Amino acid sequence: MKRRAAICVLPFLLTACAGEQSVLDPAGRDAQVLSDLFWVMLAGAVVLWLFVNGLIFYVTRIAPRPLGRRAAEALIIGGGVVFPTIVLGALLIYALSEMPNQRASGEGLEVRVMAHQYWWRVEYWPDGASEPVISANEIRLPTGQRSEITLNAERVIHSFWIPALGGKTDLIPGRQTRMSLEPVRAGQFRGQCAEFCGESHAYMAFGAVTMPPEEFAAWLEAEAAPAKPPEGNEATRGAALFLSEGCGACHAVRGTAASGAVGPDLTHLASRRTLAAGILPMEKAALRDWVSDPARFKPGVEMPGFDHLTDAELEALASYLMGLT
Amino acid sequence: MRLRDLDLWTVGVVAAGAIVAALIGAALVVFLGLFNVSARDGHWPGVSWVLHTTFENSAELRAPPASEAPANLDSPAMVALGAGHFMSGCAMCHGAPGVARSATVQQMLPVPPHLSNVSEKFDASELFWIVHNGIKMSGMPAWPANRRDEVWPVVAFLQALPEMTPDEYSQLTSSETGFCAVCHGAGGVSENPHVPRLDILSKSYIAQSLAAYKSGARDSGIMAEALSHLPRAAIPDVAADFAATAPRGSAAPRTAEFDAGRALAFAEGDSHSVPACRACHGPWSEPLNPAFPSIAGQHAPYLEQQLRLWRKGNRGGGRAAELMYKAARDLTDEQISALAAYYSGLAPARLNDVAE
Repeated sequence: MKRRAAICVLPFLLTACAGEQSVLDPAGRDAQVLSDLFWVMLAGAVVLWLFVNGLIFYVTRIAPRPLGRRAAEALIIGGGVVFPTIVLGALLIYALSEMPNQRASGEGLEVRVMAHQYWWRVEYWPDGASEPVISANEIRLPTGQRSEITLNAERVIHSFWIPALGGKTDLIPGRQTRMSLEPVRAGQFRGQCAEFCGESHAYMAFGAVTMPPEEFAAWLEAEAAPAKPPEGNEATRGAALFLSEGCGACHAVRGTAASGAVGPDLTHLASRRTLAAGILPMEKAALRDWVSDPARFKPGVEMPGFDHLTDAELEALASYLMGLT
Repeated sequence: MRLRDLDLWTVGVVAAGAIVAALIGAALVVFLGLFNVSARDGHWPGVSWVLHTTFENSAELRAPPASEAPANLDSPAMVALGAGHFMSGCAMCHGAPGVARSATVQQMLPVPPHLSNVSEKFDASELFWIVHNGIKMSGMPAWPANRRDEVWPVVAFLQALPEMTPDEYSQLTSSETGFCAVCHGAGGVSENPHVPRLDILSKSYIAQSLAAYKSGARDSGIMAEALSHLPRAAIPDVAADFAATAPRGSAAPRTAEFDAGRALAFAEGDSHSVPACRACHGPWSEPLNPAFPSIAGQHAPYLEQQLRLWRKGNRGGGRAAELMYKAARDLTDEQISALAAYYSGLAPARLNDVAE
């Protein structure tokens, strides 16, 4: 009975293998390679495990007698030296042969990512662009082409990782690193900082969206446009508050006086899937709570709390920000 | 019985007995009031010497290194600020040039000394330590705030005392337009670069700051003492008085440092660590919340000192203080002096009138 219950539970554990942030559910060429490598390794490990245990079973239960010297030496040299050398050598050659692809340079689009404590500044530099389209906390990439990812960090070392699309690469302050990604399937994924970077390291995630090239081009054009003006009384009051309460010191909303570069660009904030670098849903209530006391959600965050504003003022601000699609 | 015959047990019992007897004796003195605490008769012979020598050596041991003293300790502006505070917080016990100690004060034990020659006895660091910490059991109180920087003007004043005439002291510590004006100048237009001018501030900001000083939310011994003389109910009137003066003055000529400060205030360049000052303090194209202070035309030394306090994280202030802690956290000394050069160089103006 117990065993049957355990077997019923097993499939639920497997659900962790699919989803937005899984190496086992690849949506990019690099992730596919890593995934294949994993399965090959796993299959090999299973075969070896069965072989070694079978051998032990054979010599202890089926034919428990001493081996002759010749047979024993053949087993030790063959099974202990020759066989592992061949298997590990083959795996090494296979794995190394995949390395150049992981470092292949991108074509066309360059995405520059700057890691801050604890969020991501993202710049899109299409081929030949003289100035970037600036966004934050979400990476969008076209499918079917290899995009160059240039990485840098402000204060401490972080690591950039979208498990469904490829491997991880460190971001190092004062030093540029790079990688490239080639998504093969459109979808919504999740990335995560993969190098401990401070007390809110675990809360430093981001959304990743892959789209067909035409859709991506349309999105990028919309993203490059200035912010929409506020609609409705509450949002209009919120827009005025945004500019009178100092938000523009750190945040940019293109098309308004706010041009700060310390925090994330908010021009199209509400078009992102998540708030605060992948940790809150993009909803008005979450925005209000975040603005009021960000440290409650992200200890050590650089953004100060605005709980000196009244509830009505916070509501108005959130209403304005939710209109920035 | 020879000494070596004493066993440990006997020694222990005798020692314990002596301790118990001493405790009972002490308890009798405390609970029956046997010790005469009258200040009329002075200390027993020798006690004054023991206490005073202990105090002097304690101050010498604990005084900060001479390097902590600011370089401008002999500047007239520092002396003037120290004089203003001395008048409001110290002269009632210590007297001052041309001001005698009252008959009652002269019956204190010990008698607070007239300080005309105190700087000959103690160096600047020792004076600093004494003023900041006070002296136990002497009647000398500690500085009524944690901040250290604003103690130095008092030290500057004490060092200037030997040569100060009663007339000079009286000039430094009186004003025809009221108590606040002694330091902040007529109409709040302070001429002392260490004292902020108030004419550029809004009524709401002045009122909020005074309340913060009074409650201790903003850390300043000088302002805490000054506000002890001001009832809470009078704060709105005082704020309205100062806010009634329209700021006047013109912009200073532009310098390289002014331009460097401007670039920071406008968040130009590639730096991602300093928020654009102008989004709260102007010049800004949209209406700003007047609860933020204008700093256009404010004195540079005052601005620099405040930025250093913000950076250190102990300035305190109103409910939005966290904004400035985060904003000033990464400023370098060069950036602080550049920002002070920029904002002090602008024409004095109220927050929503700040312009270049």
